[in-house]
Amino acid sequence: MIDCSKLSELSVLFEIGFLSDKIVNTLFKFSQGVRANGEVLGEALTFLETVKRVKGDFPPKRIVANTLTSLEIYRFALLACSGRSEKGFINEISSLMGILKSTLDKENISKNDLNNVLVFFSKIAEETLKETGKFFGETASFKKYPDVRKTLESEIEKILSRNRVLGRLRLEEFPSDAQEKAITLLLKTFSLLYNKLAFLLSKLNQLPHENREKLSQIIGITTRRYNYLISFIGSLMEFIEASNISQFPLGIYYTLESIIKNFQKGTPIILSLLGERKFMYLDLITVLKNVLKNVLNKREIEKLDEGYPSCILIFNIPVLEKENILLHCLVANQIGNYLVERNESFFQILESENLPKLLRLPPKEPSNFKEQELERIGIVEQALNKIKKWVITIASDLFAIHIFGPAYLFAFSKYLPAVRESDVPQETRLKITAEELKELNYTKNDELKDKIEKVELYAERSLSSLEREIFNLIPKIREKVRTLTIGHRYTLQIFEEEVPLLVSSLLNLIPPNEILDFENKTSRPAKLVSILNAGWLFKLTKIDNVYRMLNAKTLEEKSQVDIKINRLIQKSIELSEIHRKMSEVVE
Amino acid sequence: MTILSTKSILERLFHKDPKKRLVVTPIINHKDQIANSSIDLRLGTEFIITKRTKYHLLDPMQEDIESQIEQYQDKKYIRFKRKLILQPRQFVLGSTLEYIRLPNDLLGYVIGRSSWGRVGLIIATATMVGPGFAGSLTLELVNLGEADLALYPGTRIAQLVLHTLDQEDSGYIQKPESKYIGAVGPEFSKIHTDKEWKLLR
Repeated sequence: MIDCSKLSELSVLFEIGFLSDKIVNTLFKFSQGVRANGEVLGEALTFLETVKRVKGDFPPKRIVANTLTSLEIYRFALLACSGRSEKGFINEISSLMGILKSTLDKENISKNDLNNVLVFFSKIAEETLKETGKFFGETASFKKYPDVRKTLESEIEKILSRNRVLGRLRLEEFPSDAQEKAITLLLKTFSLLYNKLAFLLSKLNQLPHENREKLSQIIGITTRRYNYLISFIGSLMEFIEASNISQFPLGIYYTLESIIKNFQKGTPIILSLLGERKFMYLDLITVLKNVLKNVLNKREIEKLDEGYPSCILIFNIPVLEKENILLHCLVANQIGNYLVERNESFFQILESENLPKLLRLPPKEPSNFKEQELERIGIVEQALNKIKKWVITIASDLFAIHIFGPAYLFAFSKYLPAVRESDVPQETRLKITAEELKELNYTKNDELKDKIEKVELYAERSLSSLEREIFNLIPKIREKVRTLTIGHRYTLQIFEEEVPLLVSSLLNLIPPNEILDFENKTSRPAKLVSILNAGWLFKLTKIDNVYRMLNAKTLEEKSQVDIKINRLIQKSIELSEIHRKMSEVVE
Repeated sequence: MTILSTKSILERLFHKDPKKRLVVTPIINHKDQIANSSIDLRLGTEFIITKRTKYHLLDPMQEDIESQIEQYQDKKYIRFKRKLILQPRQFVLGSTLEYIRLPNDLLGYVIGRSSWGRVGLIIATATMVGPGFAGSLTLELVNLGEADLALYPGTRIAQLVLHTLDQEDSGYIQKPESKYIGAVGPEFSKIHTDKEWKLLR
């Protein structure tokens, strides 16, 4: 591999006589700065030396298979940059992109190499577009439709620039390989869109005279659809960008990973930040497929995620709370949301005798008026949707309590996420979650009893008729949640075994990541959920002791202590997870 | 003032009295990690990488030294099972994976492991750990060898040797000048907070 510092070897390009000085300048420009790109360039240049030897026999088919990658990089660079505008730049890029991709697939090259090639590829394309803007200006028919042409060109440029961002993102450090999967999927999507737009551009060029106006309008409308789509994918990319390992502490990521693993092993998850004050999740593959329906056919969409897992889950936490590990317990509700939404058995609760009661439907009477009947159906549908959402919310809350124990209730009561009028009211949710903790015997613990009852008291209010009816459904929802969480529940027994020991660690400014066995002089990693529960219990009952110990009197001093404790909890989750992983290897 | 033996270290790690207890957490495997009168320490996941800046001189007397130090260094996280490449002559701050708290009657020294030293890795230049210290230890990693070194979080990279004191010290936590207390990763230098600078300015 040639080091990128050896850029003087660009002179080889002159020597073989294919490239102009402008092209060499372009290559020189983007080879500066990023080392990885320089390495690819280095590979291309290494290959050029081989080409130099076989000059006159280009493309050199006798080059052995393992140099094919370099060959295609070189071929692309050569063709895309050598000013062959008369052949149609975009078409050329599209076909070369196809060749390059199939070659790369066959070569089974490493992820890093693939990434380098793609970055190199998109940079060449983009830089060349800038340098040789004339490519699009030379065809007479384009000039007559400047707006449509410009929009198409600008969409193509957007794709190229986003490809570049994705290439850069690939080099960043993420907590898992899920981001890599997401990036590859988005690159694949952009490649498809790119080909489509290139096709449209070529069509615009060939429009028959009599239909020109109409067809260009149609292309214009289609282009706007692409515009929306490309922007939308851009917003999905932001989630990936915000999931960089340096953006926020990994504590909750490990917790999330360990929980999801219990319910859907192998599901790639991305933990990201959101500008809004809410916790939410989305499935990248489902969302992407939904928007692509507007421009791709069914077969193309099916092909898009071939070989991918069925979903890539993105969980978001509010950016303002990114350091607040204890509030991150609210992610548990989002995991519940995801699992409940996909579990039909929860909605069977609404069937049979329960539904008419909830909807307060009048007895069926033959109606002569179609409009009235339609209106009635509309109202029923709306109400049904609302009730379904309520069932999902309540089931998700119960799920979170079963998986996270009291930590979820404390996080919820502290944060009180914003709700819309049609959502389950906060007080109702608090009441249901507090009652569930009682149901699970957590109130038998003296320290918890007082805290849980306080929340219950706060949530006390008169219920609407719908709420009362929904409350009647809770035993059935609970039963379903119990079935769902069987074998993975957090219990009072685990809480009492681990949490007091961890709280005492925190009291001594020690991260609560380990449970010591004093008799046998051994230790084991604490459960991640126990660490979060210990964090909450400490915050609610013991933090004053540490303020006193560290002589923190003013608000500012106390807040410094809070930050320290928060960091200790974050660190504990990481330490416990590493401890667990390393112990598995040692055992 | 004696050096703690393997047995004494184990006893201190499981001492029932929290004030007397030595904390080194996590210890993945007690038998392997505690031997030869020392505790092996592992490399953590956070690093501070030195970078080129416009400042060619770091002078603690200068007013904006704090921001200069931060511009001179960058925090980087290397996740478990990934590696950090330390190039020849490169200087990087790392930290121990373990969180350590010494009781007030113990003092520690961090020393390198000879197997790493033989490939050119220096792990610490400021090696004393004061009584009552609580936090992850910052390691000053330098590659004195000729080849790049791949460093993996979780690798045993240093050793902690412990001494008893002739009498208990007042403890690091309570001292207001304890600059690095409770750190959970490598910390930027706080040399500018030393009291003598006020006198020297």
